[in-house]
Amino acid sequence: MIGRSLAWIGLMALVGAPPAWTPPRTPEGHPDLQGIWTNATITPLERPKELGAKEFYTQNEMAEYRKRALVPLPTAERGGTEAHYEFTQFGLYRSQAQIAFSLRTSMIVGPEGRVPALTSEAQQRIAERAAGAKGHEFDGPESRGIQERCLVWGVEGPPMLPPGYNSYLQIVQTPAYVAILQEMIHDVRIIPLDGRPHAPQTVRRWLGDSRGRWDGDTLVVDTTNFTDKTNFRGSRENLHVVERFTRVDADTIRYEFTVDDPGTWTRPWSAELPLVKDKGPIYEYACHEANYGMANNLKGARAKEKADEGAAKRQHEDPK
Amino acid sequence: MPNRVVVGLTAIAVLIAAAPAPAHHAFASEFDIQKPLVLRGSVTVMEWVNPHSWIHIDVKGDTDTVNWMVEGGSPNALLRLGFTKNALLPGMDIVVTGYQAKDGTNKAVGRDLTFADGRKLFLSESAAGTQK
Repeated sequence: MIGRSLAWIGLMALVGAPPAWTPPRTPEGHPDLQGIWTNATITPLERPKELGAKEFYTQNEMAEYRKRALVPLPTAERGGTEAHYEFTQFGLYRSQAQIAFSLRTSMIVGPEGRVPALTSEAQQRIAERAAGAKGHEFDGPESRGIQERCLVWGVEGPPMLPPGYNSYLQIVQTPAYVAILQEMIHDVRIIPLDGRPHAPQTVRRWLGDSRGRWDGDTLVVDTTNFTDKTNFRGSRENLHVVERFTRVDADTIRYEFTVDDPGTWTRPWSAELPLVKDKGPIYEYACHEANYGMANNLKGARAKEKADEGAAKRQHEDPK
Repeated sequence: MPNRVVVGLTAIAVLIAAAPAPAHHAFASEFDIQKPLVLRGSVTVMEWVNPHSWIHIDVKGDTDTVNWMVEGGSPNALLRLGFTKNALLPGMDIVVTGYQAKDGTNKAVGRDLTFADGRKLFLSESAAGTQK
């Protein structure tokens, strides 16, 4: 044993540095990305403004941040959905799942750490769309968001961002394809690796049209052909995404992406987050199975309209 | 709506801090924060469905019994907490604090659910813990 260690030290002296971690490989020789991973996080997409250009926490700062981020707020201090809904009781609070920790202060990399400014064209487009939808939010199922309609979860992407809960994905590889299932909310991305070109511009898909290739030990996925119904930070059908998946140790994939849409942002921007191995299993999320929420929302809106009409009528008959 | 069978559409001392954040559903348009309620009833059906589980309970009043539907958490998240399909069976008595649906029917979001003896219906936050 000692002899073997000495031989190892000798070898190390010869090559000068410890050998880099080598990923497990598929029979074709590519890194094996398969398994169940989580991207649950406490790291925001955009860096809090007060941190300026500080891209990383120190270990001590991160320990403190983790401590604060993982303690559920007292009920009285919770707002929004959490006030309606006891998150911790339903397993929805982030402290109740494995977290993919990172020292980054934001997922967005670089000194700014924030989504770049919208172009004036995009600002106008977004304002017009909002004005058109105003007052019609509950007209019918089609006026509700695609997430509420169980079509696509808002952060399914690509780029794939943490969904808030049930933050799991599964990767399966064959020589010709990589498939990625995201638990939220049921879709599988099927990514060909054979070098074929993107689908024609006329073919538009909810999750875009993805093509993959190996750049050394990194899987690179290029995605275009989105629809005008998806909305990633203001970008719709012209979004272009390049993702990079690199296994960096036994438990972690480094997931990087760059997004680009000259009609929406003043420059391309990039982000990075870890995917951490999870013991699983991953579950089906059959969102359409019993989406009572959609009907309840529309019925609520009809009930309110009726009540408002009644109130207006009474006001008309007996104005006081 | 037979109000009398509801054990008081009680004003619960829950402070609501901010406008609802985007969630799977527009909570504020589905449930009425002005209609907090407490329901005591016996489970008739537990629907294990996404995006939300729904628990049906029979609430007994002075003269009649009314079936209510109560929205709970995502089954996937509940399974990960250790909840199983046998943990909540027909006939079990539970207490629901929550808010009634805006359409005025016998539906509610279950904010907090306990057994009749006060135990939390699902695992407590301390029991859930973190995996890592």
